[in-house]
Amino acid sequence: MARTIALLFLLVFCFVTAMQAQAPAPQPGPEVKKLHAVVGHWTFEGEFKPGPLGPGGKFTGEDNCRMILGGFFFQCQLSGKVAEADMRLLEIDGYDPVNKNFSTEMFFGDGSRISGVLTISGNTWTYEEKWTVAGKQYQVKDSMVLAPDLTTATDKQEISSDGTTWRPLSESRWTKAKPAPKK
Amino acid sequence: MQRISVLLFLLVVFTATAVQAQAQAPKPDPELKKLSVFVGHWTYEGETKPGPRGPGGKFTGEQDVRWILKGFYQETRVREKGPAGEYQSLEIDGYDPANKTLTFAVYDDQGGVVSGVESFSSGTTQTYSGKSVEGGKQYLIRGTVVFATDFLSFTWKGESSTDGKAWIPAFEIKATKVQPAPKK
Repeated sequence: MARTIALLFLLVFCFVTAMQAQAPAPQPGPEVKKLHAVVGHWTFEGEFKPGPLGPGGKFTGEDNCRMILGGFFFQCQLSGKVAEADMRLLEIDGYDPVNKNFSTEMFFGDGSRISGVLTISGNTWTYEEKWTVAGKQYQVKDSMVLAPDLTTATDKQEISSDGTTWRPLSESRWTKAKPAPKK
Repeated sequence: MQRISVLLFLLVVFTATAVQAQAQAPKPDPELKKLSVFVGHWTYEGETKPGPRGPGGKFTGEQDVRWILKGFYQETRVREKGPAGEYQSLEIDGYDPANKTLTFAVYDDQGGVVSGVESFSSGTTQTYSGKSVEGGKQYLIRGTVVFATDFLSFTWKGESSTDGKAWIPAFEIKATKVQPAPKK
């Protein structure tokens, strides 16, 4: 009887251990799929308006966006030129299950950084961000509207130093190029 | 004479423009240089302690650390094998001039995000603190990384807390630098 119980115990132990070992790896939630809409290679052109960050100027560039880390996060690597100066940034977006929204981080090649929250409603992506530039903090509102076929988009940014007075920061147009260039 | 004056004027203009361009280009804060000790290819082994974040167990891994975005940020890519399988993460470290501190953000293939601030209490000891969001739960984290004096190895001890008062050991890692970094 004791041996039967011991064997039964071992069997249950092995079964539980095996089940634990086979526990499926976490999978991205359905919210993350909304980010898939802009995966791909994009080109863009636009204009920065004169404001607290400088005299403004036209900009062009390209942006490569893909899902990373098992599909949990969305990464874009942007390179371009603003009035002949190089512009580079790395963007990482993901879903924050605690606050139930998307978080966005942009790391720029001039050391500045944008952190914020992204809301996706249909084809409209709205960012509310803080942009830290040379030790000063600004608030930025960014609204990107994707065309129904998801191959073009328009983007408008506004900036504020006090959260009350807002002024235009930039306007740009984006076009998806297929397929993404291999590197 | 007039041509020489014009040439001289152009030279002055070009020199002034070049000097201005150099002066205006932002440079990484000197504080970031402290993170240079991490640059390179590392292998490590460690152990996760049993706790609210999991049953614990031994793991091995490797990490590649490099400067990106003109040296304003540092990127760390981690590949790890442990009791729960494979694990990958991407870490971005930088300098926050508004709060005058080094910062880090880690994204992993479990959907977790760890973020916080870090500093060097001595040339060989780094401490950090922040929060970790994993599986929809939020933990506070803190830890210490101690380098050997030759900076070719380090030990790393991490702790976690659910309330900021009671801290429990989370993991320990021993890492060794592998030189040169493998080409990809």
